[in-house]
Amino acid sequence: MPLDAQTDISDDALMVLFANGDGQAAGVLAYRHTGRVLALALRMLGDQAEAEDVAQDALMRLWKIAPDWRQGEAKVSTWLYRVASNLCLDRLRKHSGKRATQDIDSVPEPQDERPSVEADLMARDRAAALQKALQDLPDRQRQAVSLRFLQELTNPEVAEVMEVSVEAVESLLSRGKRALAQALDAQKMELGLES
Amino acid sequence: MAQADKNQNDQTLDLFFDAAKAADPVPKSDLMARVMADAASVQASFNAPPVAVSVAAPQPRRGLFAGFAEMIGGWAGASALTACVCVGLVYGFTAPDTVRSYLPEAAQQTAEVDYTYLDILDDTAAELEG
Repeated sequence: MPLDAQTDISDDALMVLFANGDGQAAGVLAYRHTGRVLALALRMLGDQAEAEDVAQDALMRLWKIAPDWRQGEAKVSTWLYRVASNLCLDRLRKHSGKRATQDIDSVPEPQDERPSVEADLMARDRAAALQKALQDLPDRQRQAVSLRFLQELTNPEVAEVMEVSVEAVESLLSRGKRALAQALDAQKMELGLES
Repeated sequence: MAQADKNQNDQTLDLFFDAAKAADPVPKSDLMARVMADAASVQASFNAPPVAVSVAAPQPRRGLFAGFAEMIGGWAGASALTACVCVGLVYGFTAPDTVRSYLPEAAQQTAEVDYTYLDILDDTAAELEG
């Protein structure tokens, strides 16, 4: 049975297979995680090329640690989110002062490529508006909001990725959501959320 | 009232979050190619034979006994010498007569201690004094 068909095989087992020289294990791991890491990096950095570099770098670190991977200690996804988050924060610190800005054209197209309908356009505009509002949040709030509400991690998982307490995460999320609501309030009408 | 506003804000934000999740980027093929090339490169390094170290290991410092043992033919020579010494000591302490019996007769006579030369010396001294 080809490995790419074994969708239920655990990430831990794939790491062992990869370390033992299985050529297909990397493909399954990359298929599962590259998109998630890329999405987080894009939300934190607001730049497609930089986000791709971070995703590649994070996966590279995963390959290198495979022989020393300890099964059951950390989830591969959590580990990757932590590595990618730290890589993003490093880049943001280097770029401090020139905050990354993103125009609407750099927001990825929706996966459905059918001819645009009004709903698709509206969804794309909302995604772009949220991305712009996210870019104006402090780095740690943006990280917490992205992990919790867009990558759909639990609060304890976010705390593990950010290496802070759950209470600290709750505080970051509360302030982040309040700031987002204020930033998006003025655009509700044009985004079809208020008549 | 404040709670109602909060709930309304949360619901509105959820619509934004849903829209953003629907627009999640799909990794481009060139990014996936780079990721897979990295994986192959790293995996190849797991199986690579270890690089031979060309630096000679430092010579261990030799002790005095090791030098002596080498001079008499190594550990085999040292062992033989030790065995001979032990046998000699045992024979010497336990059965010296047995050892003498192996000697030829003339040698046995010379092996006896002869003190007559002392008497001759005493006589000579008395004559000189007298």
